[in-house]
Amino acid sequence: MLRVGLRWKILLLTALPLLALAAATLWFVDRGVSARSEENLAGDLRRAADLFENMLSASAAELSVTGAVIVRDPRFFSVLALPHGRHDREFLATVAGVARDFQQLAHPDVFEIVDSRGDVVASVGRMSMVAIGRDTLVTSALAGRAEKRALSQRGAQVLLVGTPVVADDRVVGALLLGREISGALAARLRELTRSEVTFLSDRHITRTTLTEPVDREVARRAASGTVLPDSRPIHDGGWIAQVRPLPMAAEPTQQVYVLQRSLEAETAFLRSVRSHLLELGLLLLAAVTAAALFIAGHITHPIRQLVLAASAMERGEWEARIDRDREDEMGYLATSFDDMRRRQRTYVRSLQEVARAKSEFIAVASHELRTPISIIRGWEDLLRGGLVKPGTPSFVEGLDAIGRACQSLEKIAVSATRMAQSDGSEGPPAPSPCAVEPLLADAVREASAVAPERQVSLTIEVQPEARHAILDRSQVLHALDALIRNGIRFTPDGGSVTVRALASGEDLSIEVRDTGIGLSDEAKARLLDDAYVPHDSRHHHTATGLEFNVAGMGFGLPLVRRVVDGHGGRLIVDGHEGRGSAFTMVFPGARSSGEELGRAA
Amino acid sequence: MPIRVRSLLTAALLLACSGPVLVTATPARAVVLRGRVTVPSPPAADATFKPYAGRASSLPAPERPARGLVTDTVIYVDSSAVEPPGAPAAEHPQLAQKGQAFDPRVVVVAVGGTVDFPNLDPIYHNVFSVSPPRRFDLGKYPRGQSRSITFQKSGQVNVFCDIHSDMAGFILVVPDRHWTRPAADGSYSLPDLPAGRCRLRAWHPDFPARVFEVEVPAAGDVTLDVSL
Repeated sequence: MLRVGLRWKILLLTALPLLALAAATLWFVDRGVSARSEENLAGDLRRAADLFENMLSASAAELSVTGAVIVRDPRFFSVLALPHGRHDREFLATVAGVARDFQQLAHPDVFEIVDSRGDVVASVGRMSMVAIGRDTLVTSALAGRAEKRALSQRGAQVLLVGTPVVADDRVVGALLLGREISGALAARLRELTRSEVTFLSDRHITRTTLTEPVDREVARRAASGTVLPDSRPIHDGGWIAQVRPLPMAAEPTQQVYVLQRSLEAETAFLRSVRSHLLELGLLLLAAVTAAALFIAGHITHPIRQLVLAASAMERGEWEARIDRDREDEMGYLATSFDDMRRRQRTYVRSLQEVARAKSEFIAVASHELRTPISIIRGWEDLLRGGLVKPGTPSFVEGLDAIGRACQSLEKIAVSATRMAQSDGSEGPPAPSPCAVEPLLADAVREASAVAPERQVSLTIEVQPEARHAILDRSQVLHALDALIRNGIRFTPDGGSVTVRALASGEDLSIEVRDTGIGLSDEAKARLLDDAYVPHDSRHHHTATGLEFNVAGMGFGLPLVRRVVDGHGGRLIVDGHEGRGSAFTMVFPGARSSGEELGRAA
Repeated sequence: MPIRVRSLLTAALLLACSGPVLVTATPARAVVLRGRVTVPSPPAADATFKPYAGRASSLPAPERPARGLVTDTVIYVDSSAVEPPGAPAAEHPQLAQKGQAFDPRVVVVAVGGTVDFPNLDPIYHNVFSVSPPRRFDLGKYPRGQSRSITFQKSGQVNVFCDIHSDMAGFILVVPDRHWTRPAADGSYSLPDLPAGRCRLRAWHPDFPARVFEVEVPAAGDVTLDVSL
């Protein structure tokens, strides 16, 4: 549960903020761009309307200028100044000729000449005007006032400019120039402003760039309300529309124009950006999830290893793999855990071994105790029964036998004491400066005391460089004692056991070499295996002494290994069958110059 | 429709009305048409009058001929059948271009007569007319030069300058020598009228023309006051 939990927690912690950030960014960008886009559209429409009105007034101004130039031309007004009747053919022909000449100059859609009576005397444009507002314009022009108007007639809207024609200080007529507010103008405006353009007169569309009836209906709807020059753009049917009265319109409420921008088209880019952002977001989500999974896996892998190893330990399995190679905190944790596990295993195993050894000891001891006790009890019976009289050789023999029996009991007591001490709970070593030679001497003395009758020579050799060391003297003494006793035990009488202290760089090695039975390859392999505890007593060389049996109980080597491990050192086992063996304890960095000892003293 | 009246007083009263009037003259020894021309008060000077925009600034401002002068009135016999055209006058009337205006404003010439158009200005002018009695275009010519046009058809000829659009002049081509122009006080006399009924026309560039039917006796004067 922890494994999944930790991984998912890390995944959520890494991925969720990123996703939230991405989603918030998307939302803000989308919202900001949408608002901005609509604002821009409305602004565009207003500018387009201004542009159109400028175009229209420029067109009107151009017509005015053209009219002013034409009416100032003597060739033009001299004709109108001629006296004429209402249906004077010659006059009309002359005027028509002159009108055609001047019409060529500017090609207005409307080119009408009106005489001073208000009668049309020539109309040479593409269109002729019959609209209501036209008469007002003519009246104004004949009164000497130039005016311009946007008029509507026959489904078309025309920008009309009336100019008085003056000859010899008299108004002799009027010139009407007009330009249609045409589909071409709408198309041009559409090209310039990207807005759809619709002109309406009395709610009927006169010209439009819209092709779809449904879109035209939008324009009609937009123009159906009250139209003010500063009307706000209207949203309708996917369009944003700006309605304004046609400038110079004779009836401003009836003649309007609508500029439309399709939100659909305008926001296409926005939508594409949005979908791209979404794709990017999904991609990001996938990438973040993958990365988070990887990171979570990477972080939790060593933890899972430790968890597995811990649960394996609970089941009594010590071999679960732990990766010690990492150089980060996890590596440190794994290494510490592994070391702890190894110590724990050694400790547990030695405890088990001690327990086993103690029970074996008790079994052996109870057996061994019977012999001296029965000897003592036998002699006691003999003495009590008066069968052996004091002063007789038998009495002396009895006393000697009782003495030897007591000695045996004493030895068993010593062994029991030592056994009691070997409970595997040495605890961590407390190294302190110590002299090596006395340490070795003490160990030899203790070991030899157990088997004084054995004919094995014991030698101590200490290299000058190895005279001082920093070690837990008591622990090392016990380990050395165990090794020496093993050596004595496996060496036949007449053999030798050599204890040497060697220096190698900063390391101190203490070697116990015997000339005993040696070690088979199999035995060596078993000894090198941490789990192996030698307790086989088949190789007892002399099975008569309790000390041999006690020593052979096999709790010595685990002790040695515990002590060496505790010092961070290693145990080297060497030897061949029949040619003796050597056990070397290597204590890294334990060699000392002896100054510490001096200071300690 | 003509109205026949009996007395001059009545005629004079009726002259205020428009339309041709038949006048029966009282018998006299010499046939001279006399009378007085009155014109409406001249129109106010146009304050908006602006000289031609292209005028050279070194020149004095264009002259602005007075409008509505009584002396610009022409009274003539408007009847081509009265008498065949006589020999052209030896001296040509002149319509000069002077001070960026036509001088005089009104020139009268009998059919068959010739008008000279001398340019007295230090600038070019281009005199032309599109009037049906005589269309002409004299082209551009400088100071000191002159062009002439002979008029074979009676009627009003509006004369303009193609360069200076504010210039306007009038040539009235009358059928024969029976025409006159009033003095500054409006009095006029038209002698040597042939006896019989004749149609008189009073023409002015600024006012509508008026037509009078006059019964000219064999001898004696006829009086006709004209109010335009």
